[in-house]
Amino acid sequence: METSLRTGAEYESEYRLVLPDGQLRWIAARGHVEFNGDGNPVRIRGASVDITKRKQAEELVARQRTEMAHLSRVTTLGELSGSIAHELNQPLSAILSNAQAARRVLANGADLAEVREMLDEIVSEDKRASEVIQRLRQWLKKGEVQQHSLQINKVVEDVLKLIRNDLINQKVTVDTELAPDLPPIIGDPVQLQQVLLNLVVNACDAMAACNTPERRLVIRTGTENGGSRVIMSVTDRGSGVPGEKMEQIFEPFFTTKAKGMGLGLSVCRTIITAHLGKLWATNNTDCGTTFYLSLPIGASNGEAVSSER
Amino acid sequence: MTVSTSFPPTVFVVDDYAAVRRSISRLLGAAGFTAAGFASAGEFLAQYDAHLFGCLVLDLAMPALDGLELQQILAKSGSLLPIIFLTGEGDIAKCAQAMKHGASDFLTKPVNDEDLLAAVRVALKKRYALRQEQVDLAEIRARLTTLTPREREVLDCVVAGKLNKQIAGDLGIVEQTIKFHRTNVMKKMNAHSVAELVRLTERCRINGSVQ
Repeated sequence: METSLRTGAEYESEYRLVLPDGQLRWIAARGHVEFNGDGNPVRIRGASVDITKRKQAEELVARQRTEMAHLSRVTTLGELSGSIAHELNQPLSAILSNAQAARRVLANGADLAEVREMLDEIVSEDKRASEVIQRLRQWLKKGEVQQHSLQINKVVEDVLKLIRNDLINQKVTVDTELAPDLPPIIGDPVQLQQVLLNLVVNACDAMAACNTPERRLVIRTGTENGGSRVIMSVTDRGSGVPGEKMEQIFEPFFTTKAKGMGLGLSVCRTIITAHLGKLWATNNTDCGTTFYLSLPIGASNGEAVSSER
Repeated sequence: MTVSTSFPPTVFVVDDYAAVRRSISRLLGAAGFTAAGFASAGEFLAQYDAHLFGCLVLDLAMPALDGLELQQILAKSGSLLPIIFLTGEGDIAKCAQAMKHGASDFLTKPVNDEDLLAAVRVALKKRYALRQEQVDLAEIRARLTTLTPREREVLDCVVAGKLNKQIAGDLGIVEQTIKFHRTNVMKKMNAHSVAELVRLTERCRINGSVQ
């Protein structure tokens, strides 16, 4: 409105009003300021519309989207519970053996240097276990969608930690080709982890029938569009996706897995779209499929990222 | 790391998770065992030779070669190292497979010190028994080589349960000579009865013939 007063340009804004009875109304206003011959403003001509209903519908959609993403995370976590238990079990295992070894060393007549080494490792392993729990908490949190400046490479590292043991059990080798010094993107770290985790789990499933040495997946990061977008790809060596199904796989309830719900990729696409990004797939020339994810650098300001615009 | 091939026995700890590998090795050390840690099955195999004396504490889930695969490779190479498996998850199918292929024990992480140490003691006892068995066999085989061809023929007939008269008939010599050979066989084999002679030769029996 101020700009409009100064320059005479059109104004357009959406704002909230609190009515005397406490009700909240959303108003969309649009118009322009009229000036007299001396250049002084004389009147505003325009329209104000009550858009409360539309706003409420938008918020509902955003909330449902958040809940859907959460539900999908909880489901994925259930499938990964063995892997996560293992991630906790390893540090706990080391803590117990170190503590029991220290007790024996002390009983034998203490070698303090050795005991100190064991205690140091108990402390660092305990921290490691706490980190696993911390990650789980974040993952399971059903809160507001966050909007952080973050590094896509960090997302890759976090996801690989989460799924490490599962990859070992499925005998899948992961090669990463992460471009250094990528510009940060803005988004929800947990939701982006969720997308990548889904892609990695899918890639592993796609390669379940391959011979062990063939079970390799490659995660690459880089930039495109002259550095204005960050791109990440997940390449598997599975049997690929039939050409006519390449778009269908992103639709809700489409699945090729016996026990899948068919929600993974559709939730992924919803999340990425809300981050103003793109998610697509192409079959590789030799074998398997590559999923690409491209996100604008710096300011992403999607709906799911922030419900207030 | 170089590993000993004889005494004292070494407990080889193979686990890709460094802190577990170190802490288990420290625990074994504190309990008086000599331990050596390896970060992968491949790293262990690079050091492996058939004369390694001790036992193996082996993580089940590892990248590249896992515990069960290492067990197979060692079995094929004729390894006598008893294996104690350690696993994060109580996977019954894998446990069954490991035991079927001769695992000495199967423990879940986190493992209590007493349980692990007891399993190591049992495994080493098994290894000692195997070594004793080998020593005994070598000794018996050495005695067998001192027999003359004729004595060897008599031995085969005696352990087959034949009487001196039958043996004499079979070999076409007089019974008195058989008695003479027989006494020599008992003396050379250091056997005090026919039953003992049978036991000794049975231990050397491979694929039906005494070797």
